Amino acid sequence: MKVRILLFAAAQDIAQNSSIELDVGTDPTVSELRKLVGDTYPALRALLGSSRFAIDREFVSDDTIVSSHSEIAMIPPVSGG
Amino acid sequence: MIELTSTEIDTQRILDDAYRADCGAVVLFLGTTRQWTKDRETDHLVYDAYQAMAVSKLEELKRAAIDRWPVKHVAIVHRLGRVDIGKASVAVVVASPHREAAFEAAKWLIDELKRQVPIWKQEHWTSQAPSWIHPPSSPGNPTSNPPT
Repeated sequence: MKVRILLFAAAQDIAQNSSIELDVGTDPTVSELRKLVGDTYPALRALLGSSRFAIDREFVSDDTIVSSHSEIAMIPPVSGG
Repeated sequence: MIELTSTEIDTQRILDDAYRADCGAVVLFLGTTRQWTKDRETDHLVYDAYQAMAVSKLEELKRAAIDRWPVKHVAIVHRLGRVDIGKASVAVVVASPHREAAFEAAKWLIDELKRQVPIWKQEHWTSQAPSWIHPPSSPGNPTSNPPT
């Protein structure tokens, strides 16, 4: 299945895009997605290590299953305020 | 009121909204842009956000503060885009019948905002290329915040 991952801040600059699309197996976990992002975009690896993932606007843990119609986002360490 | 805005924060307006007959305290916290970080000079900041999630997280924080403290009014406004030196990038306003709750809730809200609301700051330095700030020691960092 195909998933789209929203990118922000430095991740967006590194990928030169506000989102990326990846082909993944059925029902991947966030952890599998994380690895696939790093394999496809090695330049994102360093930031991936310190980033969280959000699904449908909620932070999720690495064992969460991802479905293709979810809104998926890579959230680098935040710095608002 | 929860708001992300690309225009200057109108502190008078958000204070006017906070005055209530049943409250004896209004606390306003403003985060402002600092010119110097050690020996590096900032020209201006640029803020980016995952807007839909940031608004939803801010609403969640507001509800949590109202549940936890006897506060009657909470407003949080955060700037997006360019913010010049000395300007407010964030405002947190809390009104409560007595001051302790307003101080405590306001501090908790800005601390949590900085920990978990998806907003990012880009420093535009006077003498080097701009850099996004992704604090390695951020409590939101998975290495210090194991998955639940």
